[in-house]
Amino acid sequence: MTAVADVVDYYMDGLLGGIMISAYPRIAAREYIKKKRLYHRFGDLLELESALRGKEDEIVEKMLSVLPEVTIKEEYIKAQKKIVEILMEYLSDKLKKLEEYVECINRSELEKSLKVAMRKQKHLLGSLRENLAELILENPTEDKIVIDEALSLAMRLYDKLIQEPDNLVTSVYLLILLLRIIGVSKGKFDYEVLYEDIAEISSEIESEEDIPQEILEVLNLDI
Amino acid sequence: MSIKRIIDSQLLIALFNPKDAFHEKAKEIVTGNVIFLESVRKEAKMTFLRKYNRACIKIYRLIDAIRLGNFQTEEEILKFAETKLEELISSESNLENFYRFVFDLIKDKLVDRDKLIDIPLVLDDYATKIVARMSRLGKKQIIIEIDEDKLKLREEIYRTIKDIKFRLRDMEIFCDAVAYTIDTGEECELCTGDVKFYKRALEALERLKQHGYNPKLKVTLVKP
Repeated sequence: MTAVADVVDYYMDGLLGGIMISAYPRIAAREYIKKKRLYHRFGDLLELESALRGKEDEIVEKMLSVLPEVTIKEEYIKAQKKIVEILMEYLSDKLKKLEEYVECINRSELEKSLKVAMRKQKHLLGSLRENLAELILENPTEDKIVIDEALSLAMRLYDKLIQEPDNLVTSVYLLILLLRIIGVSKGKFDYEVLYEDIAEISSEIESEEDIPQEILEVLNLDI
Repeated sequence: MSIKRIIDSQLLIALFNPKDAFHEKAKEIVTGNVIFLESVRKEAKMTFLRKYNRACIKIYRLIDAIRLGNFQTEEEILKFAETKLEELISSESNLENFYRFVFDLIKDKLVDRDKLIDIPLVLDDYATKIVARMSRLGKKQIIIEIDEDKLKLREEIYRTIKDIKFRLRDMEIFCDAVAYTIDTGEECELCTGDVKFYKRALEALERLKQHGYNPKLKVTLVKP
């Protein structure tokens, strides 16, 4: 296993949690269950991880196998649907129960749960990046750098989702990016594909104030 | 109405890199009536990242030398770093603008040993910001619906010029530019600083004319 794969693997449980929430945002409602101490009614929902225990590699492999070669939004959306199907294959009963529970909480509670979960995930990526930064300085290689850029982009997607939890396209982009980072670190994909993903996905985080003033001044953006 | 300009990926990259020889020229071009094709944006982002990352790799080696070095003052560190930078540039002059660009971003941090570890995070965050900025350009442009006739036309254009030795992405950019002029009926000028792309584009335009297409497209070679 390479040094990058080692670091990414260390965070695998957390990353898998992020992948599940991006694919199926209602999973984040579990935070609310914990907070409200409703274990007696829905305790088994907290066992999602245990339902996957021992099968993490298998489920990740399956999800990686449906990632698209063509890096465009339409292909990402198709892949997201397949990834949800894979999750259903493993967690069908628990996700049905989750739906039952989600009906008992209101939209604002669900949104709060999502925000908590996404802030946690963003923090996790920040920690992963700090470890990766050490590796980059020790032995800088293009694959490590582009993985870190993808992680940086993923953190910005989390920022956007915290502001707009309902933004489905952002969730899809995040899902694909997280999986691709895992795939590249495991050597399942060449790191070159991350350049294409970043080029496509970065369009999701553009904002007017990002443009430097000297360029804004010369551009006619109203064409 | 003035002729619309389509800029290629090299000029779009130059727009965002103040150290690029074409930077001022790119700013001058986009002052007018300019179009940013999606194919250009995507190619510019990927090329920018590849070159930026290759420059970063060498800059990180320079940082490692600073970490291991025994410097007494900030001036000594900066003098050492600048000497190393010039060595890098003389060994790989085609990346000079990227070496200078990356070096400028982190120069202030080199003198603080505690901050050296943060440099990869700073540089990688900056890279994603730049490509996001490139996305912003042209967002308000009209979207052309591609129906079957337009799709067929694109296939015909591609077939007519497919043996011309464009790089893959350049072929896509050229075909997009031709298709844009045909779809909209607007007269456009494709601006490039890349001599090879310019020559291939002229050859392709001539070929299209011989086959009865007459796109209102002219190609211009831009100099720094």
